[in-house]
Parts: sequence; C-alpha cells; structure tokens
Amino acid sequence: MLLGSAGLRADVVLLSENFDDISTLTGNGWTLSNQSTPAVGVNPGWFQGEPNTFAARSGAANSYISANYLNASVGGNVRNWLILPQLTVGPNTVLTFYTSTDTSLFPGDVLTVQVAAAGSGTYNTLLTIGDPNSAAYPTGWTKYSVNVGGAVPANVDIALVYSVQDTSINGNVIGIDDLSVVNVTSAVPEPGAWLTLSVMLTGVALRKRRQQKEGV
Amino acid sequence: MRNKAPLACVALLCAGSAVTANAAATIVIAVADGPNVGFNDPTPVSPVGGNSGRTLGEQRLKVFQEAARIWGQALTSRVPIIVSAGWQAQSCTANSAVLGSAGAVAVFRDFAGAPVRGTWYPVALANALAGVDLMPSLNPANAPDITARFNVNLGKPGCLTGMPFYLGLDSNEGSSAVDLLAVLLHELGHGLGFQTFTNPQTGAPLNNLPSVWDHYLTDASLNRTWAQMTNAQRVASATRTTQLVWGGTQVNDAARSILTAGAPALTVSAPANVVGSYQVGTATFGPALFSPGIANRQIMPVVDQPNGTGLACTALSAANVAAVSGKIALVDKGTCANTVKAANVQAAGAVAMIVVDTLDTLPPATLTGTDASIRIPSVNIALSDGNKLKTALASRTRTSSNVVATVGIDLTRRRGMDTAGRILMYAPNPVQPGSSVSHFDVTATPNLLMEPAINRDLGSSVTLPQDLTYTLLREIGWR
Repeated sequence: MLLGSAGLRADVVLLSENFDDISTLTGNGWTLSNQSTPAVGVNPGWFQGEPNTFAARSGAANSYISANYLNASVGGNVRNWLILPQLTVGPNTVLTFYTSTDTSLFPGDVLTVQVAAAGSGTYNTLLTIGDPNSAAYPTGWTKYSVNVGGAVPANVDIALVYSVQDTSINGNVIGIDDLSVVNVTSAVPEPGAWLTLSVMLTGVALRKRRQQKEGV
Repeated sequence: MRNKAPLACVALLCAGSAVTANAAATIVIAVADGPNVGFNDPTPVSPVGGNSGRTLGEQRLKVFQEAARIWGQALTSRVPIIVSAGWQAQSCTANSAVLGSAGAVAVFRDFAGAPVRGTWYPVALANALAGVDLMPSLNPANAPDITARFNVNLGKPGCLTGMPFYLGLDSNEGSSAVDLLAVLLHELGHGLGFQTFTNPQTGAPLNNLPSVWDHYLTDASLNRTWAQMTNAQRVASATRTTQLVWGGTQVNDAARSILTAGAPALTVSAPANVVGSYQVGTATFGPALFSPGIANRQIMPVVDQPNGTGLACTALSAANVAAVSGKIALVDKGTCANTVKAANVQAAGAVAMIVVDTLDTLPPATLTGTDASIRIPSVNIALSDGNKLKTALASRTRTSSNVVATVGIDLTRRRGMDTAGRILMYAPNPVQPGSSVSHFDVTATPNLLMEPAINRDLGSSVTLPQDLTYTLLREIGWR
C-alpha cells in the first residue's frame, strides 16, 4: 500500500471560480473590459448567465458568466476581455473551464485564451474555441484545459477574450462556467499528502497487530 | 389664523350685482367684470340648450348660476360662499388654451372646528367647519372666498380657434365647443378645496404647514403622504407619474365603484429589475386588448439601424425574423406609420408589437392609423420605459431574451387607479404649475370632472355615481 500511495497527485488550486455572482469578480482581482468597436449605446459587457438562454453547468441556473454580440454596435467587432487575477504559474499550471453557446444557427462566436507576462500587455494566444466565419462553437457545456505555465515560475495575466467579427451577421452568445487554475504536481507529495500516508501506515500497522493478536 | 398674502390677490375691478343660489350652501357670485365685458357683454345671442339669456353676458351668468346651484345643492355651509368671477384673456394658442383658473383667496388653520391642527384649509371650507365667517366684510364683493377667471377670447382666432364656450345648460356642447358649465364646476371645485397650497415645483408648504390636501396626497413609492415628506421628496414626488395617488378611503372606495375595471397594460414579469405594470397607449388598429392578453411571451427588439434601434419600416431581415418570431416585437417610433411597423413585425411572426415612443409622456399617446389586415395587438410605451426594457434586453441572444411580458388588460387595476386600488393623481414630468398634483390623473375612465383637461363626455354632476369631486371634498372636511 505504501508503494501505491507514493504516486498520488498533489494539485494546488491557484484559483477556482463558479461565477455564482459576477458582481464580486472585480473585488476579487478580476478585470472585465469591453474593448469592442464601436460600442455605442447599451452594451452589456460580461453579464450574469441568463437561465432563459441555457442553465449553468453547476449551481444555480444563472451561475455562469456570459457575453454576447451586443457588446459592439451593429456591424462592429466585439473584443470583450475577461482577465483573471494575476497569478504565479509554473511549468504545469493548467487553466480549465467549460463553455457553451445556445444554438448552432449563428456563426462567428470565438473565445481565445491568452497569456501575458504580468503587466506587459503583450498577450500570446494559447487556445482558440470557435471560428469567426462558421458556427463552430460548442452548443453544450464543453470542457477545455490549457497549460498556461512556462518553463520557470512567473507572474502572468491570463485572459479569456470573446470576439466577433461584424456583428451585423455574426455572433450570438457564449457562457463560461466552473473555471479553475491548478498547479498540477505528481512527483513530490505535499505535506498534507505525507500526513495522509502516515495515517494510512499507522492504520495498516494497527490492523496487522490486531491480526497478529487474533492469530495467537 | 389666516394666511392671505401668498395666494392670489383679490382685485375686484368692478363689483357688479351679486347673485345667489340658495341650497344647502349659498354661493354668491360677485361679478368682477367692467361694463360691456364678460358677464356684462351686451352682444345679442339666441337661447341655447336651456339657457334663455338674450345677451352673451346674460348667458354666461346663467351658466354660472347653474354651476353655483349644483355646488350649492351638494355642499353644506351656514356661511355664504363668495365667488369673485370675471372674464379676461388667458394663455392660449390656436390649438390649446387655458379655459379658466380658480382658487381659494385665503386659507385658515387652527380655527374652532378645524379637524386637523397645524393644517391649512381653504377659507370656504374653514368657514363651513367653523360655522362662522372667518373673513367677514360689510360688502361681500370685497371679501370673496374664491376667485375665478375665464378665458374671454376662447374660440377667437389664435385661441383654440373656432371652439368657443358652449353656453347651454344641457352638456350638449358637441365637438366644436367647450362646455362652460363643466369648466365652471371644475374651477369652483378648485376654489372649494380641490387643490394643495404647497408648491409642487419647490416642495415648499405654505408657511411651512401642510394643506389638508397634503394629508391625503400620497407617494406610493415612498408610502408617505406629502405632509410627511421633505421638500426634496415632494419635488420628486410631483413628477412621479403612476406613483402619486390619493390616500383617502372615501375617494378610493367610491372610485372602485365607478371607474372601469381592467386597464390596458404591459405587465413585465421578468427579470426582477424591470418587473412591473407599464402604462401603455393603445392602438386604433389591430385587435382590441383583452385579458389576459398575449401572455408571458418574451420581448425581442427589432434592430435595423446602425445605432441599434429598430424602425421596422421595411420587411424584416432574416436575423430580425429569427428574433421576433413568436415573440413580442419591440420597435422604435418614427419614419413610417405605426401600421407599417405592425404589418412588418406581424409578417415576421411577432405575436404583438410594442412601440417605444420618442417622448416620455405618460400616459403614452394612442397609436393611430387604420389597417384591417393587422391581426396582432400593439401598444405604445414611454421613451424611458422603453430604454429601461432595452437595457434589460442587452443580455439577450439572437433568438431569445430574459424579458418576459404580457400585453393585455390588467384586471388587477381599474382605469385611473393603481394596483393597490388608489386613484392616481396628475403627476406629469416635467411638472405643470397650476395643474400638477391638484387634479385626478388623465387615465381615469370614465372621465372625471377634476382631470386637468375638460373632456367632452362630462355631464353636469359633481356627485356619485357620475363623479368623485364632491366625495373628495367630503373627505377633506366638507359636508
């Protein structure tokens, strides 16, 4: 049993967000920035999920974050940024989230995952979901994972960017739910894992002693 | 204690003969016109509608005597009510005019018999409650309780052109005249107490004391009477259309017995931040609204302009068809006829149409036009209400929204009352000095004497079951 236990993973959760109430995001270090052009009049930015559109993957029906084609004026281009709190990531830091749209009738919804050195503003695209010219966005909650770490630990800005080219004909709506950023480790158990092993070892030893006694 | 200075001054330019109408209360008419003017106008006229006067002045006076008789029969007072009445130029254009104005000359508080301490009562009511003349004078013409002035130019070019006063006594004014008897009954109603002495523009009570009116005038959104508010609260309340109500049970009980059940409405049931019953203007085309109406359908806007608005003046695009099909279509007013918009959204499969007005007028105007092919109901809503809905609609998809509504007749309301069964008071935005808060709201159906505009369907009664004016005066103290 000891040998088997030595292989347990000890993931460290850097960030976990279920979007139960997106009004708390800014206070928790998130940045919601609608940089669509033009964006005249009413535009919703990122908004709390609408149960009429689809239900959240988990929790209350509206507990997801959403964006739509109305972030730009008619015929404009949507660039709506959802930037996570600044994090220190390592070689095995993985961003995981679920996303969906409501129908495959409308083309052009795109979500990218982009990472920049903290404060640099120079983002590299790590993942693209959907297609600017077709209805390729998933129509049910679909899981995506991407390694957002580099070779050495570093502070980074991680952004999810919802984009639509020409809202007069493209774009509809997307939702994002159950997002997490996790340092995935497997070689060196954390102290908590050692304690678990210790308890297991004791348990095994006690059981063995009892067996020995019973055997007398 | 008497307060006279802040109110309209009394200047009897020429006190003519005093005329009385004997009843439960005596109303004395002190003619304030000079020779050949107003009540003294010698222009020959033919008898009309039961009015046997042979000159214009005589006919005017006979109408005034009839109004005095009607009020005198309704009211009880041991003290004669002196009305200074005259004719003079009033504000008017070719299409609108001030018909007349009237008010109490003085107010009293804390007199013997005053029902509520520290409260202003109009002098005629104060006299009635005290049982004595609180403002005695050897010459009644010099000490009127009410001053009333009427538009001497009505019907002349540039002053509601071609629509003069009707001087008959039978309320048969037709469509090209204004019933003077109704106007006189209305203005006397103000003078008898159908008014506040608190300034709706500043919120300031007269000499820092409430009028008896203010103990009943209630803001539903604050659940306070005007007597309980600050000046700033009163200023805001004066323009809070659909929230300013009468808080007295006598009037509201009576109103429930005479006002029409069921009010046209747009009732939004979701999302929470826009839930409510919105005032609508109905349409002269399409089917009449019914109950429950087009119920619990999503609202979806038409978008066909670069700024995100939707005029629906041409056949809808595929995207707009996908948006409004099976939904209540929201369009913006203008550019083409409302019937064209209705035809286009109907062709796209919409089940009803909401037009967002370019004005913030409440109640919203009626959508006019004729088109027998329109089969969906249409309503007009105020600009601010439309913008409120559009903000909520910003989180929609291309085919669905979270804004759910019913277009129909709201049976929880009577026409001119709120959902709590209180009669609405006139509170337009912006405030209209002289009209705001001292009238019933214009949505009351059937029409009431004390709305801010005279309607053609008024009779000559101030009492139930035709009218609520006397009921309200009873509520503030008249017997």
